[in-house]
Amino acid sequence: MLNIKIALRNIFRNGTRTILTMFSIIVGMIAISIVNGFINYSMWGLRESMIRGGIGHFQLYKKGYLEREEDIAFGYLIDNYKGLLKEIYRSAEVSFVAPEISFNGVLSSGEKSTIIIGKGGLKEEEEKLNSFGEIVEGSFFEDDSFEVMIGEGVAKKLKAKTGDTLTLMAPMKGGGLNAIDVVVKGIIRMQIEEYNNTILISPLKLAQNLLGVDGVDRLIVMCKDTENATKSEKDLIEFSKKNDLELKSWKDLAVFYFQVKDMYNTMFLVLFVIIMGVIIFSIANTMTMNVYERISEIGMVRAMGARRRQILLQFMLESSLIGIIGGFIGVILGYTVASLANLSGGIYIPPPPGNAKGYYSMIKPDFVNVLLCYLAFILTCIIASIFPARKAAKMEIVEAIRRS
Amino acid sequence: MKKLILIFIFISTSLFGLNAEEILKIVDSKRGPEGSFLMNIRVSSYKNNELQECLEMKGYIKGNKSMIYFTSPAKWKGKKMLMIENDVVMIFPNTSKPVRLSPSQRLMGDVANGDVARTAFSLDYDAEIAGEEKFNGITCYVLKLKAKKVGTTYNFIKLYVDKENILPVKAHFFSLSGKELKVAYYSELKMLGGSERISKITIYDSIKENSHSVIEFLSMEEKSFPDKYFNVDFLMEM
Amino acid sequence: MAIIKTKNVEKFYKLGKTSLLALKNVSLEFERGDIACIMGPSGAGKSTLLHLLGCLDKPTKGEIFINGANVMEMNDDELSLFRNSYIGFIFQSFNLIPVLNVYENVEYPLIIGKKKRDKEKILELIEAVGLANHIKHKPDELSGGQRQRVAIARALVTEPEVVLADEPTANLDSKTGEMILNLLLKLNEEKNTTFIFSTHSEAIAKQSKKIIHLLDGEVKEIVYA
Repeated sequence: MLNIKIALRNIFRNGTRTILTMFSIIVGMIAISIVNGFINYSMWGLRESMIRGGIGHFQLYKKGYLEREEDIAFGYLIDNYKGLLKEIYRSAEVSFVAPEISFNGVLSSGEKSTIIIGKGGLKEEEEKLNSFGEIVEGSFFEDDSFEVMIGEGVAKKLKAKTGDTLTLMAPMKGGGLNAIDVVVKGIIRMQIEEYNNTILISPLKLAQNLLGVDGVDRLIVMCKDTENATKSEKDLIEFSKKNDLELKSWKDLAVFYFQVKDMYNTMFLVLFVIIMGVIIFSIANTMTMNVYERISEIGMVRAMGARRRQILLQFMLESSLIGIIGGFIGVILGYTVASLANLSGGIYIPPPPGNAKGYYSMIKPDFVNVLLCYLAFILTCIIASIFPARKAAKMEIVEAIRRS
Repeated sequence: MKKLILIFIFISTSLFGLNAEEILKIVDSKRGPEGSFLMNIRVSSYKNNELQECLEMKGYIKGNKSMIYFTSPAKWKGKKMLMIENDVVMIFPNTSKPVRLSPSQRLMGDVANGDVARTAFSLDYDAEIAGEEKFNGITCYVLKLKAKKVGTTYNFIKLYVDKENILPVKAHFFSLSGKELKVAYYSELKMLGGSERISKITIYDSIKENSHSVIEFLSMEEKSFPDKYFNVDFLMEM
Repeated sequence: MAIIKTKNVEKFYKLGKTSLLALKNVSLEFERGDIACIMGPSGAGKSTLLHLLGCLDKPTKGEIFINGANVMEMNDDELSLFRNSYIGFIFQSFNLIPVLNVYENVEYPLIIGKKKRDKEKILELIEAVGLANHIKHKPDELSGGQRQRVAIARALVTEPEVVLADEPTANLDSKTGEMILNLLLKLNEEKNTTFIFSTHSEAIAKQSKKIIHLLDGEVKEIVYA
């Protein structure tokens, strides 16, 4: 306690110097808080947009579906899905389940034809799942109809518009070709350009009739919110084992999210290391000056019986206090700046590559991360002071006293 | 009348030896009647000897025109396949336009469209005797069949015909590049359309192991049909 | 029994290319309660001897016994503890800790040695040096004489056996110097602490029981009062 009192008084002996040193820590901490807050918010946004853009919180497949060798999944469909849906809905955390079946086929206008990648699903669930981008023309199909939605690129290739009748062909289970005439109800634009050239979304029943099957190839489960989704995971794993299914969570499926996360983490680390470098330099410089100015004092204190270790620790304590105080101020200011930015509506981010719209980002620092950085900075201060502190401790008493 | 000619050919060839064309003509007669007839066909596909799918259809044959009308199962019912020479067209119940297909395209399992639509080889292939071989203890003529036109179901067939009774034993089917696609075995003589004919063809895919299909000719009846049975517009309306 | 005893002590320095024999063959004894004085011209080795007597440094040859303990056998940490308990220092430039006030400066050696901080005893000492009214003052608020008085109180707070004073009145005017000297003498009387001075001052010499004259690192003469 006393050592802290003495240390505090010592660091403010030369107030200007200490404050300048603290400045690098304060600014560093503010930068860390804000950057962390920005990254945190962006990742949250990305995660939710991926989950609510079609991946869902969990996906259930028939066991063997994912590792299957054949291109076509006819042998790995979930046939009894209607019964399974009831059971899944019993979990309190589940918001809805979207059954889907995917298929490859050919869409033809009579004169032109193009390959499509099709998905059959239920209207209500697919709308909630929001996996079809935006509808640029027309509207969503009805469940019991021959209406479909096609990607912009598909429509362009077939010179089709809403209301046109096209022929959809696909191979059936067991072999052979099947064809159904469909009506274009809507034209959609998805975020990823390539999809627009091949996507076709149809009512589930239509797809099942086309393919000659009763089942679906996946069940997409959406929970009430992502934080609580983990509560359902255990139940769903058991459920999937019992029913010969395989469970994948969004964590397995949202690969892009984790790639972005890694990239952001790397950038953040680089920023952190740079700030740490500045702090090391600043602290080492300051502590060296402090030691130099107090040489005779150190000699006296040693003469009074202080051991070398006590001298070393005294200086390291002073350095750590600079870090503790500076870092603390930095955290407070960082959070203040973040709150102000958030209250004013956020920071405008221009459209990322491939997107049309920009967005307003909030700054939401993650407390644990910020705390860890704070502690790391304090440690940095301590380590940076080791060299000058050791010099102080190693001094010969007689030499030191002579300097008075 | 036809029967007499055949008997004559049979006797004369057994005295003088047959040429390839003659052999092929006899083989065709062991597979189906000449002229216009109606047949009931069942096609079954197997994987690892387990039945996968089973189709039943009616075939309306008139020379090189065939109309196949699918009757079972439910998802096939109402579909029609029309083959005129080498042009194949598929008519689906819920579509406004027919879909062009090819004879070599797969119908189901290991069976191609042309396998059910055509029973007579001589319409599409030129024959040549390549020699004699013994298969399963049976001495066979080995016939080389070459497609007359481009777009035929197969480019080249090697047909083994029992020398004694001129029944087809087996056939190897090859693609344009010379690759063997399938092997068919002809069996089960039955009374069909007034004559003893092959009623079962078992087809093995040369590439896919564990997979084979069976075409069964359940009945044949000489019958004549109006031309409209082979007209796309009429069939679309049906 | 001699409280300090040195036997053939030698101190040899090597500074780069030059070397210096600061002390040679110094054998001395001091009794408890002694007031002794080390005198001699500049460079004679006065400060060096004082530093060795105070265990701030070790001789290159010879032995030093303080209170029976052989200084040569102690390592750095042991010497530090030893100093804290048995030796007090007063230097000519006072050497107070600028961030601590009078009370805290006096108390400081007890903190270093993790000893009991008896408030009464500390206040008593501060009173004894006449600074009772300045307890909360920092060194920069005190005059030279006041600062030296703080140094004296500090040197005595651990109740050392020996107090070593290197030119204690050199930075003070004659009047203040006289006052300090009287204070030291009084304390010597009261607590029977051994005082060893290194000085040019005649005034101090007059009050000493024993004067050791050094010349060129050797004991030239010992004069007893």
